[in-house]
Amino acid sequence: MKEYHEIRDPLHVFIRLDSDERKVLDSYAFQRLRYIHQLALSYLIYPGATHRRFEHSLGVMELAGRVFDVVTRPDAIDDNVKSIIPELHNKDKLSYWRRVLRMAALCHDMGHLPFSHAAEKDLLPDGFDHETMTGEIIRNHEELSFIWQQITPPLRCEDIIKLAVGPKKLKGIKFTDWEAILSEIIVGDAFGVDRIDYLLRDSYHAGVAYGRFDHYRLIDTLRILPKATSGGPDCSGDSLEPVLGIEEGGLHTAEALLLARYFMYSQVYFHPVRRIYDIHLKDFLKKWLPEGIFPTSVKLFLHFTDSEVIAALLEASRDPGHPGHESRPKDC
Amino acid sequence: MNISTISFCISEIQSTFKKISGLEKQFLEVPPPCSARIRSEAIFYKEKGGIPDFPVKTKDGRIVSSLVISDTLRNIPVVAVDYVFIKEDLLKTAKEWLNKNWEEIIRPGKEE
Repeated sequence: MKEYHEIRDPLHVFIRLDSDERKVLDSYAFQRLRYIHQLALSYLIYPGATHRRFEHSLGVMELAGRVFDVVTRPDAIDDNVKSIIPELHNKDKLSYWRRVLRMAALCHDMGHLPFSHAAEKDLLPDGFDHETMTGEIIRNHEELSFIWQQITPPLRCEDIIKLAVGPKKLKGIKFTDWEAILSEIIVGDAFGVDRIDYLLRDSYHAGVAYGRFDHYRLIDTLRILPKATSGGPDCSGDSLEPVLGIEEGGLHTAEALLLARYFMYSQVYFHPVRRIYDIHLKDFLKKWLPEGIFPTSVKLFLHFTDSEVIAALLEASRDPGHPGHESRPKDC
Repeated sequence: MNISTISFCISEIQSTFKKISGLEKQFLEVPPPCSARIRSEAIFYKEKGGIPDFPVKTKDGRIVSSLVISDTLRNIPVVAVDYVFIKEDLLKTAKEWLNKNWEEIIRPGKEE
């Protein structure tokens, strides 16, 4: 049996994964992402935007591995952070955390509801969101728990959750500097590979150029650096807290990334017609779902995908007795 | 208040008004021609936190803030969207209300 596997991808050309990552890819929880549209109903406005969370998650894993390899390369480590991150000097620890990082990247979107963000706020009980559900699935899904245990050395599911969800959403959970940097690689505001992949992928599939930027150059110039603040022209020594930064040579591509983000939000993610579809979808789901919300038990939650919702919409349109059926209102 | 976009879009949304912001509240004051059947929903979003600040290692080895070194980053607008969706029947009334209240709506509010 092959130890490494390749998957073709329109953005990253080849995505390579090992046999343990392949087991996660084959799991029920991950395969479900094949049936969750990345951009919800945006495909009704941008017909090409039919891509799913499945390929995005693979892309995030691929990029997370690339960033890890760049920022832990011995010649790329800044002298200021060498002494404060012991994990950088221990090969076994580096190897363990690289695996955890890639698994976390692969799993980071497992808790998405049907149609991704379209109806998340109103259709989960208070205190739940897709990040909470991601944590629940990584921790409690039997198939995944078995995979974490049989890897050598076994991966701690709490480590995977930390990196997949990040400190902003896991309030009250303590992160080491190292764990915080690794989670920043995935979900960071500036250079998170989740964002890098979705901007490039959404742009590619929607057929708009706004989301493109030179991510190869960006990733090559990423570094772990002490945090600087905007308090003065030279902030060396502001803080020793290590965070993800860049070398000066990558500044223009970082600017391009943040401009791409602005354009994509303005032009694609907040497209007014897409927002109207979201409202209609939410109305339907509230009527169709038992008690008007999605279940939070992992087993029941994983039964729901876009496919079930689309089938129910079709059924409702044909059946006047369906709870979601609504005939077109007459003029007042 | 940073209003970057105000759009009135044709929609048939069965929901009651949601009092989300002052803008929505003002809109409620428009006498609707068909109040029993009024359908509207507002979406207001303003990005939290603004443009992220990150460290940049300069060619001479200093570490500086990205917002200090980059004019571009300092000037990227914050993503902000304001939509009020309204039923087609009420579009004319909404436009009249918008024309009448435009100056008031776009007047910058105090910074929070």
